[in-house]
Amino acid sequence: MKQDYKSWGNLSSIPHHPVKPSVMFTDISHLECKDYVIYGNGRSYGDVCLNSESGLIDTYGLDRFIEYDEVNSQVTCQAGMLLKDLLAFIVPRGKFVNVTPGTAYVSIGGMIANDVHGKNHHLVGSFGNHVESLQLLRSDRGVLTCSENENSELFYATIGGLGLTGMILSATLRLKDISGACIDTKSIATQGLSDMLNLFDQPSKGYEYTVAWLDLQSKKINGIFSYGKHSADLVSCGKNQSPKKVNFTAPNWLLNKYSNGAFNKLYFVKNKLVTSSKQNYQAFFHPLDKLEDWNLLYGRRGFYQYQFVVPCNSFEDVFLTLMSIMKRYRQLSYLSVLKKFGETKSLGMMSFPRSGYTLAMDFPNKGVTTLKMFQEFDKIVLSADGAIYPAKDARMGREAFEKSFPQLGEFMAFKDAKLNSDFWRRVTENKAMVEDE
Amino acid sequence: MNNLVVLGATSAIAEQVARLYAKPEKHILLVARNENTMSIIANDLQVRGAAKVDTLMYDFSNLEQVDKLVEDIDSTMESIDVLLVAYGTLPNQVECQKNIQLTQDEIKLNYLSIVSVLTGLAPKMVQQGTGTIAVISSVAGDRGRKSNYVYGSAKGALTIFLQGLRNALSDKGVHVLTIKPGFVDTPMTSDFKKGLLWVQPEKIAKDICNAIRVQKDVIFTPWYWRWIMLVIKLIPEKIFKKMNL
Repeated sequence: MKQDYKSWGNLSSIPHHPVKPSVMFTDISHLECKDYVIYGNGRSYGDVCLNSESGLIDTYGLDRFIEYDEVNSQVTCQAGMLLKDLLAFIVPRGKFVNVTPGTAYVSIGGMIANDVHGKNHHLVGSFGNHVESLQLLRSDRGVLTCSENENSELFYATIGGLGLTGMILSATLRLKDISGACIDTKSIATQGLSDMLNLFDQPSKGYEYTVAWLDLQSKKINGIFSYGKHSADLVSCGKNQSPKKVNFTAPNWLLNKYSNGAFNKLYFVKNKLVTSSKQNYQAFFHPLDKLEDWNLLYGRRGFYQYQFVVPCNSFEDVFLTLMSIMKRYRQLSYLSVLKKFGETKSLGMMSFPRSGYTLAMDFPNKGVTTLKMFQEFDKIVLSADGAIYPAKDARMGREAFEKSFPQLGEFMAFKDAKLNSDFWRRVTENKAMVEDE
Repeated sequence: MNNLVVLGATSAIAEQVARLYAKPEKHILLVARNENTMSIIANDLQVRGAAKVDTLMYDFSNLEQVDKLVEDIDSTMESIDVLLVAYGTLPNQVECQKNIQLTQDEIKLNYLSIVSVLTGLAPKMVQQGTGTIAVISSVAGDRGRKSNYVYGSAKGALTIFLQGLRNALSDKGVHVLTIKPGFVDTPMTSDFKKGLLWVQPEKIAKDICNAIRVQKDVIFTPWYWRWIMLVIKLIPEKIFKKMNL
């Protein structure tokens, strides 16, 4: 049986041969297809979760809790569990994950395999830094326990390993204590990049989360710098809202520079006026989850996200160069988010987070011109010793991948022969999306 | 409503219902054939917060030992607040037409077995004078169609049995709920191509819990199946027999 699977960028809908384990899964070596990709919840933007016309293991049904240890602040669950369901369980018990990405619609396995980061990387590192251990199913060795003490090399390969080192069956995560579900927030409106970067350099006085939103379409580059910390007050701050759905694919023209420009101006003015508040954790960490399938707003064409990291000292130059490239291509990012990565070293051989500034920019898919623009971006980013984020990528070539991940050679030895992805084929078999001129 | 008994506990819909019940004070008894699968689910419900989760292994295609099953349930659960019957199989219609044994087996599991179990457990419920018997039937039982009439006839007969049981127990304080789900994305339907009308078992589970709470007699879930089935039932047989449904 074939079924179509998509990733978050909505660039394609491709038939796969899915396997859908419902309670447990103990063997992948016997599966029929030549190779399989592990599909969590399809929230990576490009093709790390796709394996066109071949096998796919859908972990949706693997969402059981295995153990909750309140005293040691640890939870063990199957890898298909979504972060939103984990949070719904632990938040009322006064616990929180150490790292959360910008959406809660991600699977635990997906968070490990992409070693995701949050707004507190400068203090605690990435998701993989808080994984106590995991169970990994390999086609050649069966089920293995991996941690920093046991099968440690395989553990380091699996964190950020794009699901290619084996199927993550379950994981034990270290949690932190919180008083309640609220986040104290404050925001500062900025104009110009240097104002924004200065804020990242100032100590955040107890505010552990920092993130900046940028309006690249505004002349002076308007920005909103947001701080957040878990509130000590036990007051209520709004109920969890059930998400709304777009439910249809918007026409391609809906998001254009005018509608987006208007939205950005509104967002800027609103946040300029409201400078501090108490928010539910979902509103602060996962604001776009309110509209469950917002990716459909980009229309049938789909969209790309370009996320890179470069060392702090070269960020300003790289940013200005990318802006001039965008202007030349007449394609400005619709949504741009800037974060600072700290010095905490990621555990994974293939982890994306590393010291520097990381900028994520969304672009509607305008075909070859968008891809050519990204190729120009790549050159600038890589020549500044930067890296491109596989979880967001749908087009980088082999050279860009190799430069982004210097430990690639070491990682290769841990790849499971039965696992593969469209992404992996592209970046190892040198199939560039657009030829260089 | 603190004591829940789930027959067919490894079914996707049943598990989602059990999760909604997995709270302090709740005692849940799971009954299913596959012990390994059931123990993973039981452990999950325990972590989620249920006060106590017991398991009982039973193969519902075995009609000889229903008495024993009823005894075992009785000795584990002092009283039953909700009895959820969720087991069943969705046979391949074409295979059934070629295979008498298969057809008999499907009718046996999807109808005869449930009737036997309910007949065995109803006296306990009547004796309590309270509680809900919630049984998963199907919209497929509302009209026979060439694509699944073996399954449909078992569910249709089950729906009628439940009507009668509800009538018989209505003055005994026992509530009987007939659940008619439409297309649900579960392992049972993993080979079907999913379209607009398909929903996740979480949605069905919420509807079931609401219906138990407000003591509805019959629910279609999601709600729009009531109207879809109404239209399907209104089509004259002369036309219906030529349709591809």
